[in-house]
Amino acid sequence: MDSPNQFWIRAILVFLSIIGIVILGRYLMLPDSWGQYGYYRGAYVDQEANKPLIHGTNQSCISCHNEVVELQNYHSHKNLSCETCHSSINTHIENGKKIADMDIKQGENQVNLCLKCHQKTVGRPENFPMIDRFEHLDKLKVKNTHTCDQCHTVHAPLENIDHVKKLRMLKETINEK
Amino acid sequence: MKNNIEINQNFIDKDRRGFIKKIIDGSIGGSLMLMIPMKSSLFAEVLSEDSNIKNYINPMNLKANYCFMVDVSACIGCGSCCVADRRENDVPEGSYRTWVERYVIDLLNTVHVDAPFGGELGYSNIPLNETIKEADIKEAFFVPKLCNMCEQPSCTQVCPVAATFTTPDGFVVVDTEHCVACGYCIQACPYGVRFINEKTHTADKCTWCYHRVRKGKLPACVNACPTHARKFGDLNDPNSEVAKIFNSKNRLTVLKEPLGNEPQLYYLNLHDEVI
Repeated sequence: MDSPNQFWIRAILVFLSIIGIVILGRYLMLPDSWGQYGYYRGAYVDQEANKPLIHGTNQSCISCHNEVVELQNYHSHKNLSCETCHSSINTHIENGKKIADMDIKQGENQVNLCLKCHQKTVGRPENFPMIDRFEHLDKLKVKNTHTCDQCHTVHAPLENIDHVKKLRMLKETINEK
Repeated sequence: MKNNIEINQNFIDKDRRGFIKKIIDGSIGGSLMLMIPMKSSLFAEVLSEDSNIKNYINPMNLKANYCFMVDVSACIGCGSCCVADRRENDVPEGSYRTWVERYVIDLLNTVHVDAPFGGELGYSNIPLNETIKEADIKEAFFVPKLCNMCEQPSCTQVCPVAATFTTPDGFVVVDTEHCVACGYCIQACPYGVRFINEKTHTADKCTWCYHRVRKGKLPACVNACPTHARKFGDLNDPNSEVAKIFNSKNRLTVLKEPLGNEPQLYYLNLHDEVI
């Protein structure tokens, strides 16, 4: 026959063993950094932060390509990231050494790249400079096969055009006199 | 004018002998040196510190209140942000961490929304839906979408293994080693920004480029945006652009405000039709 005391001892033992199993289970199964910041694996925060950079910034380009960046700062393209048109910097530089040439778009590819932003499209803000390719070429009386860079410097699209305008104005004022 | 040109030509003709003399004695010679082409690879070896991609991380900025702003009126729908995002975060084809939607409102106030290829190819060559006539368009605009980085996220609440959580500095991220890809968070997210990544076989989402922010750089899409429609910064820093906009008279909106998720992604000049 069980005495009432034996019953309580058994009940307490079962209770303690459940607590023990939970503590042991948590110790074995939860990762080390669990609960470092909250109810999650704290080490992942730094793991996420440690992912390698693929893109740099324009500051990354300036040390070698100062002249291009200066030209780009001339006018409307100054806000553009170099890597928007040329591919990301990790394809070009590794550990401070050049590993491959950057992607430079020529010919039809280049026209498509320019038109990605400057094609007349429904939904674009009206004050944004937009053209229809062939309409633009017709209006300026040049061949349909012209690419953008035959008139515009791609890094500062209005630089040489402003220059020509200034020269024209100068010429006109001289003619008037 | 004509006379001027003739005079100039005469001047050049007369002075040709002098010009050659100058070249020989070296005073113009220096400038001719500039015309000898030099390979840029010669310079590429000598890189300053800045050109290296810095990979050390800064400590968490716990005082910052990071926020993202999208100026809808500036977006031109070029898709550069989506391209940069795919490259930066190695997002598999067919999934989008960020995308650009096209809203077209016609004269009958019907709203047409589409986002073919997530807007990644740009909208230059993507025609409108056949049912829309160009003459009937009242308004059209582009709306970039990305993670709202809610202060009260529904996705982290439902995760059964606590694999998605808010970091101490306020970014909602997915622990790729812990996630079991059950897909609860995908259903819970009211903004539809989560997806199952085919490469890692876990849930995945936009992290506002947490790895870039910790390295002191802007998120890849903000860096790539040509019209500066995307802005990122710290609201607690009074000199930051976002704080200036936040404290100005501009009307800022968040998506699905009544849900109470308290997004930290704000839209400028957003139309009421956008959900």
